[in-house]
Amino acid sequence: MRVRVDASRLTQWIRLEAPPPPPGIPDGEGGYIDTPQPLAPPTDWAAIEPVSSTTAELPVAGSIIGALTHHVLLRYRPDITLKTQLTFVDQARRTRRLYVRSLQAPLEQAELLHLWCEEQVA
Amino acid sequence: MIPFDDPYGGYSAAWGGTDLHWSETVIVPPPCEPVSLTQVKHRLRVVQDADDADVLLLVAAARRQVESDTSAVLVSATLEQTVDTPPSGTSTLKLVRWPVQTIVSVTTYAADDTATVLDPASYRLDTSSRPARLILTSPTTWPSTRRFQAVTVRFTAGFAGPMVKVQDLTWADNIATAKLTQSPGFLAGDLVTFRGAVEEDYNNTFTVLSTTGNNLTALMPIPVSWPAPGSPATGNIYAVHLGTPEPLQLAVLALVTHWFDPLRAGLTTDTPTVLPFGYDVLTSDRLEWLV
Repeated sequence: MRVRVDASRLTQWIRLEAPPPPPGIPDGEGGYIDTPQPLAPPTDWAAIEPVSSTTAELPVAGSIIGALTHHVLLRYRPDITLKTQLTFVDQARRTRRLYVRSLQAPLEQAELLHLWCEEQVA
Repeated sequence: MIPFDDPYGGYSAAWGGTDLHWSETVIVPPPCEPVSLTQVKHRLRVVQDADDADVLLLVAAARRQVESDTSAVLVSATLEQTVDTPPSGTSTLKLVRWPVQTIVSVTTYAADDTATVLDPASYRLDTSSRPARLILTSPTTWPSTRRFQAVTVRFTAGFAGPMVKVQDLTWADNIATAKLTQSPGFLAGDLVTFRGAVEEDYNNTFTVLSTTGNNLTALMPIPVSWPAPGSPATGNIYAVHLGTPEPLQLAVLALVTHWFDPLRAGLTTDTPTVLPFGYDVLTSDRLEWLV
Protein backbone atom coordinates (compact mmCIF):
# COMPACT_ATOMS: atom_id res chain seq x y z
CA MET A 1 0.00 0.00 0.00
CA ARG A 2 1.46 3.25 -1.10
CA VAL A 3 0.16 6.76 -0.63
CA ARG A 4 -0.61 8.40 -3.94
CA VAL A 5 -0.70 12.09 -4.82
CA ASP A 6 -3.47 13.61 -6.86
CA ALA A 7 -1.28 16.13 -8.66
CA SER A 8 -4.27 18.02 -10.04
CA ARG A 9 -5.04 19.30 -6.51
CA LEU A 10 -1.64 20.98 -6.16
CA THR A 11 -2.53 24.24 -7.82
CA GLN A 12 -0.86 26.86 -5.62
CA TRP A 13 2.68 27.96 -6.34
CA ILE A 14 4.41 28.61 -3.02
CA ARG A 15 7.80 29.81 -1.81
CA LEU A 16 9.51 28.11 1.10
CA GLU A 17 11.92 29.70 3.56
CA ALA A 18 13.51 28.72 6.86
CA PRO A 19 15.82 30.55 9.27
CA PRO A 20 19.38 29.24 9.15
CA PRO A 21 20.45 26.90 11.97
CA PRO A 22 21.78 28.75 15.03
CA PRO A 23 23.77 30.82 15.43
CA GLY A 24 22.97 31.93 11.86
CA ILE A 25 25.01 32.91 8.86
CA PRO A 26 28.10 35.02 9.70
CA ASP A 27 27.71 38.50 8.27
CA GLY A 28 31.48 39.04 8.08
CA GLU A 29 31.46 41.71 10.74
CA GLY A 30 31.27 39.48 13.79
CA GLY A 31 27.50 39.22 13.78
CA TYR A 32 25.05 36.69 12.45
CA ILE A 33 22.16 36.82 10.02
CA ASP A 34 19.11 34.82 11.06
CA THR A 35 16.57 36.05 8.52
CA PRO A 36 14.79 33.21 6.70
CA GLN A 37 16.64 31.80 3.73
CA PRO A 38 15.02 30.07 0.74
CA LEU A 39 15.05 26.30 0.68
CA ALA A 40 16.38 24.43 -2.32
CA PRO A 41 14.43 24.35 -4.58
CA PRO A 42 12.82 27.52 -3.19
CA THR A 43 9.38 26.89 -4.66
CA ASP A 44 6.84 24.10 -4.85
CA TRP A 45 3.26 23.27 -5.73
CA ALA A 46 0.70 22.87 -2.94
CA ALA A 47 -2.98 22.66 -2.12
CA ILE A 48 -3.85 25.28 0.50
CA GLU A 49 -7.16 25.40 2.29
CA PRO A 50 -8.33 27.19 5.44
CA VAL A 51 -9.29 25.04 8.39
CA SER A 52 -12.31 25.76 10.55
CA SER A 53 -11.68 27.51 13.83
CA THR A 54 -13.26 24.79 15.98
CA THR A 55 -10.82 22.10 14.93
CA ALA A 56 -7.84 24.31 14.52
CA GLU A 57 -6.51 24.81 18.00
CA LEU A 58 -2.95 23.80 18.63
CA PRO A 59 -2.59 22.07 21.97
CA VAL A 60 0.92 21.99 23.42
CA ALA A 61 1.35 20.35 26.81
CA GLY A 62 -2.35 20.60 27.47
CA SER A 63 -2.79 24.27 26.77
CA ILE A 64 -3.83 26.07 23.62
CA ILE A 65 -0.99 28.22 22.35
CA GLY A 66 -2.23 29.20 18.92
CA ALA A 67 -4.78 28.72 16.21
CA LEU A 68 -4.09 26.71 13.11
CA THR A 69 -5.50 28.55 10.16
CA HIS A 70 -4.46 26.60 7.09
CA HIS A 71 -3.91 23.05 5.93
CA VAL A 72 -1.31 22.66 3.21
CA LEU A 73 -0.78 19.54 1.13
CA LEU A 74 2.26 19.08 -1.08
CA ARG A 75 4.54 16.45 -2.51
CA TYR A 76 7.00 15.15 0.07
CA ARG A 77 10.23 17.03 0.50
CA PRO A 78 12.69 16.30 3.28
CA ASP A 79 13.70 19.89 4.03
CA ILE A 80 10.45 21.11 5.57
CA THR A 81 10.55 21.40 9.37
CA LEU A 82 8.60 23.18 12.09
CA LYS A 83 10.76 26.23 11.38
CA THR A 84 9.71 26.48 7.76
CA GLN A 85 7.68 29.45 6.57
CA LEU A 86 5.82 29.56 3.31
CA THR A 87 4.45 32.44 1.30
CA PHE A 88 1.94 32.41 -1.50
CA VAL A 89 0.00 34.92 -3.55
CA ASP A 90 -3.74 34.41 -3.16
CA GLN A 91 -6.45 35.13 -5.69
CA ALA A 92 -6.74 38.72 -4.48
CA ARG A 93 -3.03 39.14 -5.31
CA ARG A 94 -2.12 39.50 -1.67
CA THR A 95 1.04 37.83 -0.41
CA ARG A 96 0.24 35.62 2.58
CA ARG A 97 2.74 34.10 4.97
CA LEU A 98 2.16 30.83 6.83
CA TYR A 99 4.23 29.31 9.63
CA VAL A 100 4.38 25.53 9.80
CA ARG A 101 3.17 24.38 13.23
CA SER A 102 2.73 20.67 12.62
CA LEU A 103 3.58 18.31 9.82
CA GLN A 104 2.93 14.71 8.91
CA ALA A 105 3.92 12.34 6.12
CA PRO A 106 1.10 9.78 5.74
CA LEU A 107 2.25 6.23 6.50
CA GLU A 108 5.80 7.59 6.88
CA GLN A 109 6.19 7.43 3.12
CA ALA A 110 8.13 9.98 1.12
CA GLU A 111 5.15 10.77 -1.09
CA LEU A 112 2.95 13.37 0.56
CA LEU A 113 3.29 15.95 3.27
CA HIS A 114 0.47 17.46 5.30
CA LEU A 115 1.29 20.79 6.96
CA TRP A 116 -0.87 22.54 9.52
CA CYS A 117 0.04 26.18 9.55
CA GLU A 118 -0.67 29.43 11.32
CA GLU A 119 -1.01 32.54 9.26
CA GLN A 120 0.97 35.60 10.15
CA VAL A 121 -1.47 38.39 10.96
CA ALA A 122 -0.10 41.79 10.15
CA MET B 1 1.74 -0.24 -35.16
CA ILE B 2 -1.13 -0.89 -37.44
CA PRO B 3 -2.94 -4.04 -36.34
CA PHE B 4 -2.83 -6.94 -38.72
CA ASP B 5 -6.54 -7.61 -38.35
CA ASP B 6 -7.28 -4.30 -40.00
CA PRO B 7 -10.98 -3.44 -39.69
CA TYR B 8 -11.07 -1.97 -43.17
CA GLY B 9 -9.66 -5.11 -44.74
CA GLY B 10 -7.67 -2.67 -46.79
CA TYR B 11 -4.20 -3.89 -47.09
CA SER B 12 -4.73 -7.49 -48.03
CA ALA B 13 -6.16 -6.29 -51.32
CA ALA B 14 -3.66 -3.49 -51.70
CA TRP B 15 -0.71 -5.72 -51.04
CA GLY B 16 -2.03 -8.57 -53.11
CA GLY B 17 -1.91 -11.19 -50.42
CA THR B 18 -3.62 -12.26 -47.25
CA ASP B 19 -0.46 -13.02 -45.32
CA LEU B 20 1.08 -9.60 -45.36
CA HIS B 21 4.01 -9.18 -43.08
CA TRP B 22 5.98 -6.03 -42.54
CA SER B 23 8.50 -4.95 -39.97
CA GLU B 24 9.95 -1.66 -38.92
CA THR B 25 13.37 -0.67 -37.68
CA VAL B 26 14.43 2.66 -36.23
CA ILE B 27 17.67 3.62 -37.97
CA VAL B 28 18.18 7.09 -36.50
CA PRO B 29 16.09 7.77 -33.40
CA PRO B 30 14.51 11.20 -32.94
CA PRO B 31 16.98 13.80 -31.65
CA CYS B 32 14.65 15.02 -28.91
CA GLU B 33 11.30 14.32 -27.31
CA PRO B 34 8.18 16.27 -28.31
CA VAL B 35 7.70 17.53 -24.76
CA SER B 36 10.43 18.71 -22.42
CA LEU B 37 11.23 17.67 -18.88
CA THR B 38 10.11 21.12 -17.68
CA GLN B 39 6.71 20.81 -19.31
CA VAL B 40 6.14 17.38 -17.81
CA LYS B 41 7.32 18.35 -14.33
CA HIS B 42 4.99 21.34 -14.30
CA ARG B 43 2.15 19.01 -15.21
CA LEU B 44 3.17 16.58 -12.47
CA ARG B 45 3.67 19.39 -9.92
CA VAL B 46 7.16 18.05 -9.24
CA VAL B 47 10.02 20.39 -8.37
CA GLN B 48 12.59 17.94 -7.05
CA ASP B 49 15.15 16.42 -9.41
CA ALA B 50 15.18 12.96 -7.82
CA ASP B 51 12.76 11.38 -10.30
CA ASP B 52 14.01 13.09 -13.47
CA ALA B 53 15.43 9.88 -14.93
CA ASP B 54 12.12 8.09 -14.40
CA VAL B 55 10.19 10.97 -15.90
CA LEU B 56 12.37 10.93 -19.02
CA LEU B 57 11.77 7.19 -19.39
CA LEU B 58 8.04 7.81 -19.12
CA VAL B 59 8.22 10.54 -21.76
CA ALA B 60 9.97 8.21 -24.19
CA ALA B 61 7.47 5.45 -23.45
CA ALA B 62 4.51 7.79 -23.86
CA ARG B 63 5.88 9.12 -27.14
CA ARG B 64 6.21 5.58 -28.47
CA GLN B 65 2.70 4.73 -27.31
CA VAL B 66 1.25 7.77 -29.08
CA GLU B 67 3.28 6.94 -32.18
CA SER B 68 1.97 3.39 -32.26
CA ASP B 69 -1.61 4.55 -31.65
CA THR B 70 -1.55 7.13 -34.42
CA SER B 71 1.12 5.83 -36.85
CA ALA B 72 2.63 9.30 -36.62
CA VAL B 73 6.30 10.01 -36.05
CA LEU B 74 6.25 12.87 -33.54
CA VAL B 75 9.84 14.06 -34.02
CA SER B 76 11.89 13.41 -37.13
CA ALA B 77 13.50 9.99 -37.30
CA THR B 78 14.91 7.70 -39.96
CA LEU B 79 12.99 4.44 -40.23
CA GLU B 80 13.18 1.32 -42.31
CA GLN B 81 10.10 -0.56 -43.42
CA THR B 82 10.47 -4.07 -44.76
CA VAL B 83 7.76 -6.06 -46.49
CA ASP B 84 7.82 -9.72 -47.42
CA THR B 85 6.67 -9.37 -51.01
CA PRO B 86 6.44 -6.45 -53.40
CA PRO B 87 2.84 -5.43 -54.00
CA SER B 88 1.41 -7.54 -56.80
CA GLY B 89 -0.47 -5.90 -59.62
CA THR B 90 0.36 -2.38 -58.54
CA SER B 91 3.39 -0.14 -58.65
CA THR B 92 2.38 1.46 -55.34
CA LEU B 93 3.92 0.58 -52.01
CA LYS B 94 2.32 2.16 -48.96
CA LEU B 95 4.43 3.44 -46.10
CA VAL B 96 3.06 2.81 -42.65
CA ARG B 97 4.20 6.05 -41.02
CA TRP B 98 3.29 9.67 -41.52
CA PRO B 99 4.38 12.29 -42.31
CA VAL B 100 7.05 10.86 -44.61
CA GLN B 101 9.62 13.50 -45.55
CA THR B 102 12.02 11.77 -47.96
CA ILE B 103 12.94 8.33 -49.21
CA VAL B 104 16.55 7.52 -48.37
CA SER B 105 16.78 4.26 -50.30
CA VAL B 106 14.74 1.38 -51.66
CA THR B 107 16.44 -2.01 -51.63
CA THR B 108 15.11 -5.24 -53.10
CA TYR B 109 16.51 -8.67 -52.40
CA ALA B 110 16.66 -11.34 -55.10
CA ALA B 111 16.13 -15.04 -54.46
CA ASP B 112 19.87 -15.50 -53.92
CA ASP B 113 19.83 -12.67 -51.33
CA THR B 114 21.56 -10.22 -53.66
CA ALA B 115 20.64 -6.71 -52.63
CA THR B 116 19.74 -4.21 -55.34
CA VAL B 117 19.30 -0.54 -54.57
CA LEU B 118 16.69 0.97 -56.85
CA ASP B 119 17.64 4.01 -58.89
CA PRO B 120 16.02 7.06 -57.21
CA ALA B 121 14.77 8.10 -60.64
CA SER B 122 12.70 4.92 -60.88
CA TYR B 123 10.26 5.85 -58.12
CA ARG B 124 8.44 8.81 -56.71
CA LEU B 125 7.17 9.63 -53.26
CA ASP B 126 3.61 10.80 -52.74
CA THR B 127 3.58 12.57 -49.39
CA SER B 128 0.23 14.28 -49.76
CA SER B 129 -1.64 10.99 -49.38
CA ARG B 130 -2.10 9.24 -46.12
CA PRO B 131 -0.58 6.71 -46.00
CA ALA B 132 2.28 8.07 -48.06
CA ARG B 133 2.95 6.07 -51.19
CA LEU B 134 6.08 4.99 -52.99
CA ILE B 135 5.17 4.77 -56.68
CA LEU B 136 7.39 3.22 -59.34
CA THR B 137 7.65 5.39 -62.44
CA SER B 138 6.31 4.03 -65.68
CA PRO B 139 8.66 1.44 -67.19
CA THR B 140 9.87 0.18 -63.82
CA THR B 141 8.27 -2.89 -62.29
CA TRP B 142 9.03 -4.71 -59.10
CA PRO B 143 11.81 -7.26 -59.65
CA SER B 144 11.36 -10.87 -58.69
CA THR B 145 12.43 -11.28 -55.11
CA ARG B 146 13.05 -13.76 -52.36
CA ARG B 147 10.06 -14.92 -50.36
CA PHE B 148 10.62 -12.94 -47.19
CA GLN B 149 11.82 -9.43 -46.41
CA ALA B 150 11.92 -8.70 -50.09
CA VAL B 151 11.68 -4.91 -50.17
CA THR B 152 13.26 -2.54 -47.69
CA VAL B 153 12.42 1.16 -47.77
CA ARG B 154 14.48 3.51 -45.68
CA PHE B 155 12.83 6.89 -45.18
CA THR B 156 12.80 9.90 -42.95
CA ALA B 157 9.53 10.76 -41.27
CA GLY B 158 8.34 13.13 -38.60
CA PHE B 159 7.26 16.67 -38.07
CA ALA B 160 10.36 18.48 -36.86
CA GLY B 161 12.54 20.58 -39.11
CA PRO B 162 16.33 20.49 -38.95
CA MET B 163 18.02 21.09 -35.61
CA VAL B 164 20.09 24.28 -35.60
CA LYS B 165 22.94 24.62 -33.11
CA VAL B 166 22.61 27.52 -30.67
CA GLN B 167 25.87 29.29 -29.84
CA ASP B 168 24.53 31.61 -27.21
CA LEU B 169 21.21 31.72 -25.39
CA THR B 170 20.35 34.39 -22.84
CA TRP B 171 17.25 35.49 -20.98
CA ALA B 172 16.27 38.95 -19.72
CA ASP B 173 12.90 40.59 -19.07
CA ASN B 174 10.88 37.63 -20.40
CA ILE B 175 12.78 37.67 -23.70
CA ALA B 176 15.10 34.87 -24.76
CA THR B 177 17.83 35.85 -27.22
CA ALA B 178 19.54 33.11 -29.22
CA LYS B 179 22.58 33.35 -31.47
CA LEU B 180 22.49 30.46 -33.94
CA THR B 181 25.18 28.98 -36.17
CA GLN B 182 23.04 29.41 -39.26
CA SER B 183 19.95 31.27 -40.32
CA PRO B 184 17.12 29.86 -38.21
CA GLY B 185 14.48 29.98 -40.93
CA PHE B 186 11.84 31.17 -38.51
CA LEU B 187 9.43 34.04 -38.98
CA ALA B 188 7.96 36.21 -36.26
CA GLY B 189 5.02 34.35 -34.76
CA ASP B 190 6.49 30.89 -35.41
CA LEU B 191 7.12 28.54 -32.53
CA VAL B 192 10.73 27.76 -31.69
CA THR B 193 11.71 24.90 -29.42
CA PHE B 194 15.01 24.74 -27.55
CA ARG B 195 16.49 21.47 -26.38
CA GLY B 196 19.67 20.47 -24.59
CA ALA B 197 20.04 23.35 -22.14
CA VAL B 198 21.24 22.47 -18.66
CA GLU B 199 18.89 25.13 -17.26
CA GLU B 200 15.63 23.26 -17.82
CA ASP B 201 13.53 26.44 -18.16
CA TYR B 202 14.94 26.96 -21.66
CA ASN B 203 13.96 23.50 -22.92
CA ASN B 204 10.52 24.56 -23.99
CA THR B 205 8.59 26.02 -26.90
CA PHE B 206 8.33 29.79 -27.34
CA THR B 207 6.88 32.30 -29.79
CA VAL B 208 9.43 33.96 -32.04
CA LEU B 209 9.37 37.77 -31.79
CA SER B 210 11.98 38.69 -34.38
CA THR B 211 14.86 37.28 -36.40
CA THR B 212 17.88 39.20 -37.62
CA GLY B 213 20.54 37.27 -39.52
CA ASN B 214 21.48 34.32 -37.36
CA ASN B 215 19.92 35.83 -34.26
CA LEU B 216 16.48 35.21 -32.89
CA THR B 217 14.44 36.60 -30.02
CA ALA B 218 11.51 34.78 -28.48
CA LEU B 219 8.95 35.52 -25.82
CA MET B 220 9.91 33.44 -22.79
CA PRO B 221 7.66 34.48 -19.90
CA ILE B 222 8.48 33.29 -16.42
CA PRO B 223 5.51 32.97 -14.03
CA VAL B 224 5.17 35.29 -11.05
CA SER B 225 7.59 34.44 -8.23
CA TRP B 226 9.32 31.90 -10.44
CA PRO B 227 13.12 31.94 -10.07
CA ALA B 228 14.75 33.59 -13.09
CA PRO B 229 16.58 31.09 -15.31
CA GLY B 230 20.37 31.21 -15.34
CA SER B 231 21.67 33.38 -18.15
CA PRO B 232 23.45 32.63 -20.42
CA ALA B 233 22.27 29.04 -20.74
CA THR B 234 24.83 26.24 -20.79
CA GLY B 235 24.86 22.86 -22.46
CA ASN B 236 24.69 21.59 -26.01
CA ILE B 237 21.66 23.61 -27.12
CA TYR B 238 19.68 23.22 -30.33
CA ALA B 239 16.79 25.17 -31.77
CA VAL B 240 14.21 23.33 -33.81
CA HIS B 241 10.86 24.00 -35.39
CA LEU B 242 9.15 21.09 -33.69
CA GLY B 243 5.86 21.14 -35.58
CA THR B 244 4.39 18.20 -33.68
CA PRO B 245 0.60 18.68 -33.70
CA GLU B 246 -0.60 20.02 -30.36
CA PRO B 247 -3.10 17.19 -29.80
CA LEU B 248 -0.28 14.67 -30.03
CA GLN B 249 1.93 16.67 -27.64
CA LEU B 250 -1.00 16.82 -25.23
CA ALA B 251 -1.54 13.09 -25.61
CA VAL B 252 2.08 12.47 -24.56
CA LEU B 253 1.63 14.76 -21.55
CA ALA B 254 -1.65 13.06 -20.64
CA LEU B 255 -0.04 9.62 -20.67
CA VAL B 256 2.93 10.68 -18.56
CA THR B 257 0.75 12.33 -15.91
CA HIS B 258 -1.49 9.27 -15.98
CA TRP B 259 1.42 6.89 -15.42
CA PHE B 260 3.72 8.77 -13.06
CA ASP B 261 2.06 8.52 -9.63
CA PRO B 262 0.59 5.03 -10.03
CA LEU B 263 4.02 3.73 -11.06
CA ARG B 264 5.64 5.38 -8.06
CA ALA B 265 2.96 3.93 -5.83
CA GLY B 266 3.52 0.45 -7.23
CA LEU B 267 0.88 -1.60 -8.96
CA THR B 268 -2.07 -1.94 -6.62
CA THR B 269 -5.65 -3.02 -7.00
CA ASP B 270 -6.75 0.56 -7.51
CA THR B 271 -4.21 1.23 -10.27
CA PRO B 272 -6.17 2.82 -13.12
CA THR B 273 -6.25 0.69 -16.22
CA VAL B 274 -8.34 2.93 -18.43
CA LEU B 275 -6.69 5.54 -20.58
CA PRO B 276 -6.72 9.13 -19.36
CA PHE B 277 -9.71 11.22 -20.23
CA GLY B 278 -9.42 12.76 -23.67
CA TYR B 279 -6.63 10.50 -24.90
CA ASP B 280 -8.82 8.89 -27.54
CA VAL B 281 -9.89 12.27 -28.86
CA LEU B 282 -6.34 13.59 -28.95
CA THR B 283 -5.05 10.61 -30.88
CA SER B 284 -8.06 10.18 -33.14
CA ASP B 285 -6.22 11.61 -36.15
CA ARG B 286 -5.29 8.10 -37.18
CA LEU B 287 -3.77 6.77 -40.31
CA GLU B 288 -6.78 5.55 -42.21
CA TRP B 289 -5.67 2.37 -43.86
CA LEU B 290 -8.18 2.58 -46.67
CA VAL B 291 -7.48 1.47 -50.21
